[in-house]
Amino acid sequence: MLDCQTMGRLLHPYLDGELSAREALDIQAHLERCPDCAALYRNEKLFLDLLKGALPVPVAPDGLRQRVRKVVEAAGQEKRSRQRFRLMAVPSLALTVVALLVIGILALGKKPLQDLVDVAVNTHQGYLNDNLPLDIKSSDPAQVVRWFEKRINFPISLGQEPVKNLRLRGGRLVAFQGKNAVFLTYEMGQHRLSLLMTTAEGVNLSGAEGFKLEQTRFYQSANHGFQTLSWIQEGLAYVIVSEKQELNKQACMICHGNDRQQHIPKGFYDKET
Amino acid sequence: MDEEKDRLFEELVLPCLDALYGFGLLLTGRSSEAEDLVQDTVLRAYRFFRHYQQGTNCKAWLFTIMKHIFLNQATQRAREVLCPYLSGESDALWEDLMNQAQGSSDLRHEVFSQDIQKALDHLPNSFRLVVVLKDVEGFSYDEIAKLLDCPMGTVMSRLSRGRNLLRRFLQAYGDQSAEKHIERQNERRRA
Repeated sequence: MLDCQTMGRLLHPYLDGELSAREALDIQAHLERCPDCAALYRNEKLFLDLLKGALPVPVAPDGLRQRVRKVVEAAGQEKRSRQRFRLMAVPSLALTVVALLVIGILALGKKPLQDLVDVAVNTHQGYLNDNLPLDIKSSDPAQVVRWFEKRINFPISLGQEPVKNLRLRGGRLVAFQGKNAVFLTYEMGQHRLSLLMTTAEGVNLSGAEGFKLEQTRFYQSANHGFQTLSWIQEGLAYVIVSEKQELNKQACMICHGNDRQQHIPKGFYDKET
Repeated sequence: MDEEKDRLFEELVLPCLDALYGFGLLLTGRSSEAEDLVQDTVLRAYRFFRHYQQGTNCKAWLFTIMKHIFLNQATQRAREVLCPYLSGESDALWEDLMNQAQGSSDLRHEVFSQDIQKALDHLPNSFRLVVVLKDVEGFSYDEIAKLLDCPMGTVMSRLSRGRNLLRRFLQAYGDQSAEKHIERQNERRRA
């Protein structure tokens, strides 16, 4: 049996339609028996109806509407032109062989392109051995993002909420094929883990094994005693380095925060490492 | 396929611009910043639209994106606006606000339609956010709790207190309007 005090506590949830059917029935039964609560209910309902009808509804300025449309259209065009380029860039097998031969001949005597995974592992190792100090030491993702934003030409977004067992130590700017890459390093309990990211142009991800989820192909490899997980997404290439693949997967929360479900491909955590 | 996705994006996201702008205003307090926030949010939503699960609340998805961008851009300010325990949560402060609402003299001269906005402006951020998310945007308690990263009980408490404060402010304006009305009638009679 519901008392008047509980009734007062549940009145707004009842009016907002937030109660279960059973709770709502209990409330209705109480209202039929108790004239005081019934009067309170009528007053509250009147007030909430009045309030909901009178609260100002925001209206976006016309200029903003146009601005947003333009930005979306531009993003759409960019996406479509990238796709067209990809289609045009699929050559026949013969052309590929010829192109590879030409490139091979031209490349004779030159240093081979450095792989992003190698750079990630070397930087991680260098940092662990105290040979490569951090440019910025901070556990505040926003501060680290601000530091990098002035020095790189691509956006980075780090989850702001504290993630269990994952503590940012700082970052370092790394040169990769004439452009800048972001190196971030983390503590995960007793373990150390690093993330290297840069723009995807010209990046070749090496990895013995790969798996594809939604539109993204992930590569796993072992390199100098470390395990790496690498992938390309939204024009950016990422490499995570640590001692174990299972740690690498947990580190996705660096960017995604605790909100795993919304942005991480389905089945990611089910893939065996 | 892409055209279909673009069409769906326009269908689902563009109608939320007004609500997004309102949320941006609540977070930043400035029109120009709110507009930038809306633009960044829509652009990010476009890029990550494949992650949106059809059939779920698109507006809640967009608000979450906006909150994350705001947190990234202005961590300190974001904590002040979004943190559940910084402003207006203690009983003593709430009592103060209730007394202020009862006796506030500088607020006693508006007509009702303007009163609501003014009363809303006088609410602490944490109360105002919840009242607007519920009573203007129509989010459920659960959606608000997830959006603001706070327990459902906190949402219920803030909503109840926020609405009670609004009622007090509005009653104060109403009493003043009634007094003025009677005064004007008396003046007419005397004349």
